Amino acid sequence: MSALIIGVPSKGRLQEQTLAFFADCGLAISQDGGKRGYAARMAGQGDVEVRLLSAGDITAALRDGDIHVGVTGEDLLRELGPGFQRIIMVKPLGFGRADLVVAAPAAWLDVTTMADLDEVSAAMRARTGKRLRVATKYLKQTHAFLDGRGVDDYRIVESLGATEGAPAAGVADVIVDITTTGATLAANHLKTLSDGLILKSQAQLAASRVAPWTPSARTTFAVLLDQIEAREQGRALKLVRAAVGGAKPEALAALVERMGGRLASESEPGLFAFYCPAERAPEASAAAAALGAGPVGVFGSDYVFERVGTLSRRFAEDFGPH
Amino acid sequence: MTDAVAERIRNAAGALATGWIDPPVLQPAGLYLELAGEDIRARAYMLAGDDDAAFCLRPDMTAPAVREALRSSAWSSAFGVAYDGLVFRRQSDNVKETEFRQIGAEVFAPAADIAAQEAGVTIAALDACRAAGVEPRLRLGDVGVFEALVEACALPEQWSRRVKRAFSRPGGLATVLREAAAPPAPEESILGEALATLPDDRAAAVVEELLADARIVLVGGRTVAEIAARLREKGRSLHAPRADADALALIAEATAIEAAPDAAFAALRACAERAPMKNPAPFRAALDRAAARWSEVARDAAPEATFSAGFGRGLAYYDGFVFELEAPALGARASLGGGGRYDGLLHRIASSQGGGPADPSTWGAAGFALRPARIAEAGR
Repeated sequence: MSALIIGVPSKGRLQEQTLAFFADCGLAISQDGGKRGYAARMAGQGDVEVRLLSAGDITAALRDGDIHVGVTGEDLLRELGPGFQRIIMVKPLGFGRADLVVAAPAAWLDVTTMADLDEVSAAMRARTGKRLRVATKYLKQTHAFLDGRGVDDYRIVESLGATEGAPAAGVADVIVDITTTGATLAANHLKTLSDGLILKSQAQLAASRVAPWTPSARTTFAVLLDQIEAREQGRALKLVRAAVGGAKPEALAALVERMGGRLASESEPGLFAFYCPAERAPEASAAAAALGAGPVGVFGSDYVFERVGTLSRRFAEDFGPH
Repeated sequence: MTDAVAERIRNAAGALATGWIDPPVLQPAGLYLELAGEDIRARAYMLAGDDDAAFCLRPDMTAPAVREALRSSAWSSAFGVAYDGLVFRRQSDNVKETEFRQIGAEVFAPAADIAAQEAGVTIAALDACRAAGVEPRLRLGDVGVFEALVEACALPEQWSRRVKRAFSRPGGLATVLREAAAPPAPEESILGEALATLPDDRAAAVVEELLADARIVLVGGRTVAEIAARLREKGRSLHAPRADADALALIAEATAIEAAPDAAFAALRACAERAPMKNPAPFRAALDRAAARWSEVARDAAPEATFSAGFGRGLAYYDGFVFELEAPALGARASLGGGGRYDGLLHRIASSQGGGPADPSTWGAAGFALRPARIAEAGR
C-alpha cells in the first residue's frame, strides 16, 4: 500500500508546469497507462502514489483528506472558506500566477476605485431598488473583500461559465475573476479597479491536515520536501573554490559573510570553499582573488541538501505532533 | 413550561391580528439577497438550485408574513396578521440554536393611521412577556430620528448620504467620522472638471463620443447619462465644501446618547439648540413623535427602558421606530424579541411581487416577533 498520495493536475498548462517542476527536482512522474491513465508513479519514490485530477478536484480532495498532498491554485484553496483551515500551504511554486480582481465596465469612466464602486452601488440601489450585480465563481473571497471595503449594496450572480462575458450578456454589472494579462477583460470591455486586487494567486504545493497521515507518509513527504528544497538551493547557490594562496583566512571569512555565503566544508589545508548566492558569485570570486587567493573557480551544484531542511521542518511544526 | 408561555404570547399576538397565517418555510433566496444583501448567505440556510429558483429556509417571519399578507384581499383598511412558527439561522460554532420558534404579529395600515399603531405594537410585545412572567428591559430607537438628525445638520449631499448609509453597519459611523476628519485628497478628474462646465446633455454627448473613439462598448446596468452626471459631480467636488467637522461631531455625540427615554429626549433636544443644527425643525418634530410614542407606552406599561438615536435592529428592514426586548438575567444583550416599523420593506416586496393595496406607497407596516423559548428561560 502506498504511504503518500499526491494529487497532480490532469490537464492544461498547470499540468505541464507541475510535471516539469517535479521532473526538474529529480522526481519525474510517469503515467502508468500511457497518456490516458489517471494514476502515475514518481521516480525513485516507491511508496508515493500520484493521482491525476482536475485542480478543482485536488482542492476538494485536500479538504476532505482523500489525498495527502496536491498541487493547485491558491485562489481555489482560499475559496474553501472555513475548509481552508484544513490546508497547509507548504510551498508556493512560482507558476500558475493569476490575479483575482474586481473588474468594472471600461465605459464607467467615473469608476476607478472601490470607493467609486461603493458610491455607484448605493446610488443604483437608491434609484432602482436593485443591487449592483457581481458575477463571480469566487463567492467567499468576493464577499469577504467587498465587506472589508464597506461595499454592501451588491448581489452576487454565481457564474459557472465565462464570467468575463456576464456584463456584456446583461446579467451582471461588474465581475470578480482571475486575470493574467488583462487582455480578456479588455476584450470584454472591462477594466480592473486600481485598488481592486483581491489575491495574487499562484500554484501551491499544499497538504491536507485531515488526510490519514501515517508515520511513513510523513517521512516520505519530508524526503520529498528536502529534495525539492535541495534542488532550489542548488539553483540559487554556486560553489566558490579557491586556493588560499597569499590571502589571510580572516579576510576570506569576512568576505563570505559579506556576500551572504556559507562555508562549504571543513577547510582542507590550502583550500577554501564556500556557497555563495549565484548572482554574487563572480563578484565574490573577484574579491577573493584581490585578497590574494587563487586560482578561484565557480561551480554550479545540482542539489544542496541541508542537515535539516527548512521546508520539512516548517511543515512538521505547522502540522504539529501526530 | 414553554407551551404555557407560548400560549400567552399567542394571545397577545392574536389580539393585534385579524387572522393567523402560516407562511411557507421555503422562501425565495433572491428576496432575502435583495433585502439584506450577501451577508444573508452567512446567516440563512441557502438551498442549491438554479439561481432564480433558489430557496432558503426562512431566517425570519417578517418578510414571509408580508408576502402572505399581500396575497390577501384585506387591503381596504388597517388589518393585522399573526404567526407562530420556526425560523432557521446559521450560527457561529458556539451557538447551537440553529432553529427556533417565533410568535408575532404584523400590522398594516394606510400611512395616516400606521403611526397610531406603533405604541400598541410595543405594548402588545411587552404584555406578552409580562403575561409569561418576565419583566423585560426595553431598548428603543428610531431610524426617523437619526435621519432627521442628519438632515438637520445640512451636510454636503455626499457626506449626508455616507453618514446615513453608515448607520446600519457595525462601526460604520465611526469610520465615516474618521474619514471626514482626514478626507483623502479628492481624486483628480480633469475630464470631470471639464464636463462640469457643460450643460447636462452636452456632457453625455462628450462621453458618448469618447467611448466610441476608444472603441469601448458600454456594458453593465448604467447609462452614459449617469456616467457623465457622476463625472461632473466628481469634477465639482474638487472644489466642494468639506464636511463640517462640528456637525459630524454633533451627529456622533447625539447618536452616542443612550439613557432613560425622557432623559434621552431632553439631551437630544439640547443638541437641537447647538450651532451646527442649521435646520432643526424636522429633527424636533421627529423627537416629538418619538416622545409621544414613548409616553403612550409608559402610561400603559411603564417598563424599564432606554432610548438611543443610534440604535437600529439586525436585519436592516426597519426604517422608523424600533425596539428590542432584553432579559438581563440571560446575559448582557440577550434578546427576547423585538419589532418596529418597516414601510420600505412592504413597498419593496409589493413592487416585486404585486398584490396588496392599489398604491402600496400610501401604506405602512409595523410588527413584533418574540422567542418563546428564551422568554420561558428568562422566567425560570
